[in-house]
Amino acid sequence: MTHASLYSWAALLLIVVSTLCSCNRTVVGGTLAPEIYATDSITGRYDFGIEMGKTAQGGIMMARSTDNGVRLVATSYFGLSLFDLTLSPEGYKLNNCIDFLDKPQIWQLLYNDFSLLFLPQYEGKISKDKQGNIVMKGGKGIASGKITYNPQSQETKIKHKWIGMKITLKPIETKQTTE
Amino acid sequence: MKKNIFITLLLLISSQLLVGQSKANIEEINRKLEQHTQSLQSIESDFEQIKHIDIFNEDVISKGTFLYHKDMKICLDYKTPSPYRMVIANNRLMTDMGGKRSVVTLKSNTMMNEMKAMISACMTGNLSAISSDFDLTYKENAEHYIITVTPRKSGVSNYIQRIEIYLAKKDMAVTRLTFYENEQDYTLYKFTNRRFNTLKNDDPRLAI
Repeated sequence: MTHASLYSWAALLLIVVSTLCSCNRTVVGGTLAPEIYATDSITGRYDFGIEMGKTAQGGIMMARSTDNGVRLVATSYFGLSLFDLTLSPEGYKLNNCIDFLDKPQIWQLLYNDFSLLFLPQYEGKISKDKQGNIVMKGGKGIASGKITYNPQSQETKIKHKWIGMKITLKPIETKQTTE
Repeated sequence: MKKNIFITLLLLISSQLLVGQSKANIEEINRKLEQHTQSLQSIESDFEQIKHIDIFNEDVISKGTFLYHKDMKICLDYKTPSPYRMVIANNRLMTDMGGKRSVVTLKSNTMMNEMKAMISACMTGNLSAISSDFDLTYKENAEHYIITVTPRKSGVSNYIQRIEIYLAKKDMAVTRLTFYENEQDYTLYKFTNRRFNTLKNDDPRLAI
């Protein structure tokens, strides 16, 4: 086997391996890319935080795939349920949420953000910053946001600078479903 | 016919005996609770919090330390799965998420004040502080008095359907506390390694 063909096989192997590892994103430069946090029969658990101005709320979010999308359930650290949301490429369904989050504008924004993280439908440009974080941009105008994903820590930070909102998400553990 | 009358009479007599027993126990429970809370300066204990999410049929388990001082200071210091601290003191609520602090005033927020009073009363067993805003029902087993607390006002009841408190008969300490959001979803607290009257009012962990 020549050196050239050996390198070709190595490159092909790397591409296959990277697409199998759905939590590790590759910079593909602007086409449909796999979601940041893959969900299937495994329930993902994430340390979740949201800041709006001086107000901060944190907790734990759980994610599991459904027939046509992903279901997200978040609770505060104290155990109070925050929201129960179903995401799909066609839209979202807010199953339940705490009063102060019950505003359509907030959920349209969060749907856009969570879709970029949990649904494989991003079509924009993906780039890397100097720290090696993967960077995506979503939304338009005042609702535009920047998503930064650290492949080592698997932590995601979302910033909507025009409205002063920040969201952080970091996996805690994954757990097999009991059903 | 005679057998039916006998059974009916037997049931009537038994039910009267049970009512009598339950009423006497309520007075005894309240007397013991009053003695306990009067002598209580502080509580320090370990806790395990189990949040049951019925949709996924899974539990989220958190662990940490619970602190209470009689000057209405409460601290829940979570160690796992993520570091998080919540302190209620001097009409303010402070949360610390891994170094990010947030402080809010509770004075003007009626619902938050009700929640604060409820949490404080339920975690310490000082139920006389909330008896005007909540309905209380009593049961007991061999080792515990079990009190069910149901909010009357719409503010708290939007979040909490009812609360179940287990008081150990030997020392009237709260050993288990369950907040039911509905019939399926609940948050259960188990308190262990309890230490009474060991904290000082200026303990830094209770400061905001």
